[in-house]
Amino acid sequence: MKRIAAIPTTGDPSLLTESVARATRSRSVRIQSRLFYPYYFFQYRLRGKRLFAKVHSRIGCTVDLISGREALADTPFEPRPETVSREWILEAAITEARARERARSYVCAAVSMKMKWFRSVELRQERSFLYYRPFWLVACEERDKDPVWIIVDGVSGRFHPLPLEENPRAGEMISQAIPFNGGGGCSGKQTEKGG
Amino acid sequence: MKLDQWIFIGYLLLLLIIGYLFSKRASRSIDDFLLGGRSIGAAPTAFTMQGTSMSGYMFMGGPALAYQQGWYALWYALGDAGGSIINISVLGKRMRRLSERLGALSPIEYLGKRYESSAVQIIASVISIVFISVYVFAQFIAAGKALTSLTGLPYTAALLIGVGVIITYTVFGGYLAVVWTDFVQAIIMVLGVLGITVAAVSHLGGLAALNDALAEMDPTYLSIWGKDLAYQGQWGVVLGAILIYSIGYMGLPHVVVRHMSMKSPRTARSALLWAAVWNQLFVYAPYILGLCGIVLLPHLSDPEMVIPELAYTFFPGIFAALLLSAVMAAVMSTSDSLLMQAGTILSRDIYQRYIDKKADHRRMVLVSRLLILLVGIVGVVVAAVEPPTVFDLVIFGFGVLGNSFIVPYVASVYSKKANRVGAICSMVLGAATHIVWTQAGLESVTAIHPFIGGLLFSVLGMLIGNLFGKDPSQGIQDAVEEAKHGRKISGAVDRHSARELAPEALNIARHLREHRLIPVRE
Repeated sequence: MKRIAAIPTTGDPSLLTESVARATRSRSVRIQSRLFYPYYFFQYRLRGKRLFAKVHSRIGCTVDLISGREALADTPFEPRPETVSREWILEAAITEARARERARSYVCAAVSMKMKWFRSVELRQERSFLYYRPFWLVACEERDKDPVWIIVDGVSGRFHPLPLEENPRAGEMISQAIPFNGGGGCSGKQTEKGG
Repeated sequence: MKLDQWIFIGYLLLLLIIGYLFSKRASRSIDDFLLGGRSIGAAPTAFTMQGTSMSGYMFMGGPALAYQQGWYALWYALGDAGGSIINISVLGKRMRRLSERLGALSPIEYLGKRYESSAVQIIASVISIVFISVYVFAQFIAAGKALTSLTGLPYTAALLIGVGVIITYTVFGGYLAVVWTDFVQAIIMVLGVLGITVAAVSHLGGLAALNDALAEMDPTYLSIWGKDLAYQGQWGVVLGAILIYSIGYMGLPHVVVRHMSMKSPRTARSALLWAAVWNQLFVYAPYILGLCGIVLLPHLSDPEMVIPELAYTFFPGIFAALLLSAVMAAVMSTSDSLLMQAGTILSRDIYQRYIDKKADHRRMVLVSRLLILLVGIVGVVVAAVEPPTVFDLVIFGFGVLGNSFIVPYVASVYSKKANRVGAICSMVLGAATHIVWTQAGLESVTAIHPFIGGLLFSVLGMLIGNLFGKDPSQGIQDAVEEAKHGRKISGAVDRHSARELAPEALNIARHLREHRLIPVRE
């Protein structure tokens, strides 16, 4: 087990399965587990001058610590400590120093591009921390078809299919125990759709 | 000073004030601005997209061709109207799947990763920068002409003022064209052009009467082969005219920005759909106006002035000046976005990646600014000394970009054996052929449009180059194969999935496999 700082999962799992079933038109939706994905968050104080005014604002940036993808973050969030089985935590492949470099470069580029701002930007880092984002591992089943495995963002509820070579039958995981919600075991929430 | 000039200055000041007020608000909450436009719905967003995509070509190049060639010009409109649909159906799904697998954010990065080659990425970047600049030159000329019409100044003086305003706006101002100023402009432009079209066509007694009047002047205006049947039987030219816009868009580089916190990816999808609908409604109007110009303004010395002249003919001076001011502002907005794009490609994709890896933001801004300055100087020279028409420049820029990139993009998803040598040969031969074909006037000799010539040589370059280069790595070949067939998932899952989570999905799938948490069949 490992103690990590994670964004709290939002929403009720049963509501989640219902909304996923509706969106994917699946006969049933089963939550298998919850994985934790590593990111680094950087918050900057941004200063700059425009034609008629000074810009003085805060801006946040997250860096995916595996693929290195950056994204601007607008919602302030506070991760909370959580204890999770190690196998459900993805390991970071990018160092903090590299992530900092990428975040700064990305924010500068985003400010220039989106704000059409051809001046150098002054960024002062105010805080930074490593955090994990929860993703539900979900099986969507359809009649007479192989189930589709998807990940559902535990915060926003958005989902994406997993690029697995094969789509197996739900529940056939090679794992002795599938911890759920910090080691509590898989609840296997399921939503049946008519027909 | 004339009333028109006061209107123009007043219009720019109004944009400045709107921009200032909104940007002041954005200064307090810059992240909201950067992640922007979320509170605006799909239809207004699409309306704004349509308005901002209207550049000098739509107001000057397209109508001028119709004025000179008659209904033949509609071939270009036909390609334009179907362009986005063809793009989506030919490349859409496969390219999206593959770029998800490769983790590429922009088309140029995509080419570099798919062909596993820095050389491919550098060549693609250079071609993009040069021919985006050509597109900007066309905007300069349009700005010079719009200002001449508004102020009565000589063309060269108007051009210098126009380019000066554009460069100053890009380098020092920026950020003023917030989404609401774009929206206001889009309304003026779309309603203005549609208004003139309705007024002009009604004045002539409808489309049938327009055709009768054209037939009376010269029946060949009604022909699909152009005035005096100049392109009779030249299917190579006609096909080029259709294809240049229908598939040429594939060659336009654009930047995909990934915002994890954006509220709803569905809004973006709906906006694209709305934009396609707007496009169908709007794309033919400028050409129809060109046709009306033949009848209503038969002695026009510069065909590119059809819309400004018709505006003054059918609208009170005040509205015509307002419309022209909006055109000028649109030209400024299009130019500064294109210049920004070229600057970013040079500073990020070339300078920081290959020349100075540790370059800080200040240096990259400097590199971008120097490029803009260079484009400005060359642009003024091109536009002042023997200026080509807006139509010729746009078609040339579009054509070269299309000929450089269509084949490498299509081959990237349809052939897993397409390799880096093939891609380089295809880009270079495609671009070079289009340039030579245009400059040497081979269209009249061969009866084949430069775009078709470039396309043929680009295909040849890919086929021959593939014989010499090393095959792509097994990983790339597998990814291409997978992109061909797609995942075995339902349409609903595919439609509603959030594309921006693709890298996370890829890494999670890998983690599940490595830790033997992967689901397997019985």
